[in-house]
Amino acid sequence: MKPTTVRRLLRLYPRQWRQRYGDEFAALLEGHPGRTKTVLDVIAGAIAARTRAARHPAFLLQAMLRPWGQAARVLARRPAFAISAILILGAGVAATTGVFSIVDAVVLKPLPYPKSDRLVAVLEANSAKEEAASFLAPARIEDWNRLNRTFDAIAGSYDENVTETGGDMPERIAARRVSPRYFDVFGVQPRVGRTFLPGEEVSSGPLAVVISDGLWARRFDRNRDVTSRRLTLAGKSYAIVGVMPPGFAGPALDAWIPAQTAPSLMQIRDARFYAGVGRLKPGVTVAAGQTDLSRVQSELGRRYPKTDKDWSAQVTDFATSRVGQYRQPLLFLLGAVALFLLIAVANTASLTLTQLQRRESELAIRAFLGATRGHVLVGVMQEILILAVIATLLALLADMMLLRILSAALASLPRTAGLSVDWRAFGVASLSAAAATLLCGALPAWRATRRGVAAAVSRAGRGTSHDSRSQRVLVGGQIAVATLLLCTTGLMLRSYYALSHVDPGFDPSHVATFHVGAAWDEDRVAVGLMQEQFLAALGNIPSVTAAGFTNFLPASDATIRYQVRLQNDAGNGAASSTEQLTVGERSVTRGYFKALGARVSAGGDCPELATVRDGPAKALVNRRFVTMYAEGRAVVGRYMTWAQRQSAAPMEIAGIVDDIREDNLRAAAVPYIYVCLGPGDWPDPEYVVRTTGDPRTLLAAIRSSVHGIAPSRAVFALMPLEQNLGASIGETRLQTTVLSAFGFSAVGLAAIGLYGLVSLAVTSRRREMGIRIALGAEPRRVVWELAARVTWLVAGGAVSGLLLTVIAQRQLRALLFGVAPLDPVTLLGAVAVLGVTASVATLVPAWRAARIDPVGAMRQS
Amino acid sequence: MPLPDLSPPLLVLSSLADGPKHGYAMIEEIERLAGVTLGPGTLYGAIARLEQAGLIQPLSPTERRQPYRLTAAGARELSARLDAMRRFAAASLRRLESR
Repeated sequence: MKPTTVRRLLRLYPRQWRQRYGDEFAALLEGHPGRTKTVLDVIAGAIAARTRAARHPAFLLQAMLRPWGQAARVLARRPAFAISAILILGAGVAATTGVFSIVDAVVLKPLPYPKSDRLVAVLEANSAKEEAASFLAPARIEDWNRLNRTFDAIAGSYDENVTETGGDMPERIAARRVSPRYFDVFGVQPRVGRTFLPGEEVSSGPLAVVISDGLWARRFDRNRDVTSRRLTLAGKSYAIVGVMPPGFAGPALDAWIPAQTAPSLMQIRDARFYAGVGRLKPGVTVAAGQTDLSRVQSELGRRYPKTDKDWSAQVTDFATSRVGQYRQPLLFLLGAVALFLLIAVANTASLTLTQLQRRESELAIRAFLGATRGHVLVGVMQEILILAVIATLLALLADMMLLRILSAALASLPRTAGLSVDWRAFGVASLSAAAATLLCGALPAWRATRRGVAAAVSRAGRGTSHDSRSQRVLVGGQIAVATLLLCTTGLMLRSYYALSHVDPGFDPSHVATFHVGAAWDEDRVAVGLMQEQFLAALGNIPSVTAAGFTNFLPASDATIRYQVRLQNDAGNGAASSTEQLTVGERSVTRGYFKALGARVSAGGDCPELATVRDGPAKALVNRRFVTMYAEGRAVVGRYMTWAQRQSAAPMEIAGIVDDIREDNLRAAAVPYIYVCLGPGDWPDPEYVVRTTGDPRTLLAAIRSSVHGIAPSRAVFALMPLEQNLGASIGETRLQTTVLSAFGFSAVGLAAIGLYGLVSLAVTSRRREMGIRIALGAEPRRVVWELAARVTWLVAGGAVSGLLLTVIAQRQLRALLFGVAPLDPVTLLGAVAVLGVTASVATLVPAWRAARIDPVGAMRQS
Repeated sequence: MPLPDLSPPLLVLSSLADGPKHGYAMIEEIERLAGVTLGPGTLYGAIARLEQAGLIQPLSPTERRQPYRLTAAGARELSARLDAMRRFAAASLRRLESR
């Protein structure tokens, strides 16, 4: 038979068959006469061989049923590999699932209200000024409800702390005062009883309260006859009419009370204190709602030009207004953890590759001894599946424990109560990890069984260019991603350092803060008298050097903005012609700045609380106000007027305070004014007390002083100011901690990958190196040659990682504080850490290589 | 008298009974033993199946010819088959004679 005919016939056979028998079969055919009968016989043989090959899936299935015990025993013989693969894969899956569960709970899950996509946050906006969203006036809520065409309902609420004295001890109740239609907007039915009747929502109607699930459990043991009980709030008796389900509001809130706005207050169109919420009609977009309310408000502007002319409405998605601020930092963490999972998977893959290369001769012999390719493959897959299952189970356990611990640590984030493992995230993370690892196991196993047996055995243990190339790609990728994570970690560490060392403009050490429950509708004269008594009593505590109060503490994210006009000359408060100045506002008493440790650098403090109303209204301004709005000229003694509150009296500037970071610690000071409070003006302020000693030792004395004056009021949120402030950088600290964990673990994993790569190179070139050392090559030279092989890999990975950091810098910028996203020192530092780690991971196995016993190495192969 | 009903694997095993052979030698031996000429496709189909079942084993090749030998399992299998055939033949002959 002619060789060309033989070749053509051979091509009919499956490749696997040809590789095994092709040569000898061709030799036989060539020696055969080329008769038709022979050709037909060969074709029939090819068909038979192909149908046998096609039966392989059945073999696979059969092999799957092999006892798993064998695979487990194979793993048990390699404990180091098994344990590291389980730990790495488990850590990746646990971290991804954990972080996704948090992100999902906080920002991704829809809010727990029916048709929550139709809920919007509604505020007033001053069209003349940017950054001037404001609360809603009760009169305007009623007008907007009457005149709009796109809303089912608009309502408002504000929070206050009241004291409940129906029990043994006065208890602070975190209450939300609500306008009419509040529960209609959310569309949530109470769990027990009902919400408010129209009669209960008007001024001087019957007093009713709806309580939270938390308060129901705490005070009434979830008793269903709670609707026949009453609460004594600020001295008045309220009928409990209903209980809201858990999750309707945050766990900190105890009760809802109708605001029962007095008719006189309904007339004051400047009194803005409601946070508005609305439900859009079905099919109406947020933008359409915004357009509609703006139209309504411009109509009102024509009707009430004096109070409504410059105002408009601001309608935003409710979920965004509630959790939008957490979206970016949390998604950023999610990105970081996804990268971490990627590294973990790549690492497990390269571990598996290394393992299989070391076992190549074993696999080849198994194939040689009659195991089909399917058998060998399935065996390897079984081993990997066992690892993946153990790893994901461990990850699940770790997550369950971790999330329980974390939900306490994350209490400052909304919607983290009852945090639990997100099953979708767990499924995706564990499946992708298992799939990636299986793929990485299948490829080398496939190759190991494909080659001719003789070739595989003779080559076994020497490594192959192909496998080592996939290995190099995996390790290089890990180094790149690890560099990115490490750079990000470095930047976050520097941010956190900068943030915790920022000069806030005051001295938070030796300061305690607290609240005393008091409601807005209480007798203000009585509350004012009590406030005077408190300040006097606090001053009498021996170690106390100053005491005062404010409506909002610095760095508490209360970024209120108003417009004022500054008069040109010191005068009696006559009309001013100057422009409207946007300022932040705080209301304070005498002694507050001293207690806070802030410096009044010109003029003086507020008058004594009792005498504030004796003279003209007074206010202080900050240093930034003077440089921005008064060109640095003297302002003490000059007057300011409220731009939007014509009825309010002008304020005399009493003094200048050095800049305090009022908005938050990240933001540089903006112009601020500090209005001097009169007694009772702000019923529930933040009391601030400075002591010479540890503020913790002061807490008991404060409690007993307040109790002596007002035994029926609850003292709460009593804590050192530093703790209060710590909460405001807590998020950055959390991000930094989590990122550092990812960053350094990523470097560790990359180092393990590198170590594995170099070890493999050493193993596969043992014989060659042994010969060279035997022939007199210096061991050091062998080490350097090995090191040089990976240096390019590490350098390439690091450069790619830096490029990734450059690409990611836009996302980074918003999260950083006091450090540029491409800060060279930080980036170089990160690369240095990586370089040192990589060197160790390379040199350790390389040194071991240099100590090879040449004779042993050659004999072994 | 040719024996065309015998299966190719059995023929291959028989041809290897007295020692290793390569493919061409097997064909010749089978012709001699059973009067059957196996086509090369049939022969190698049988060789592949026998090797996979662990009944025969390749030896180191000489030039392009690949000799095979019986494994222990192969020898046992062959002898069991031949034994069964012998019993079958003896029983059938007895029944023929008693007619």
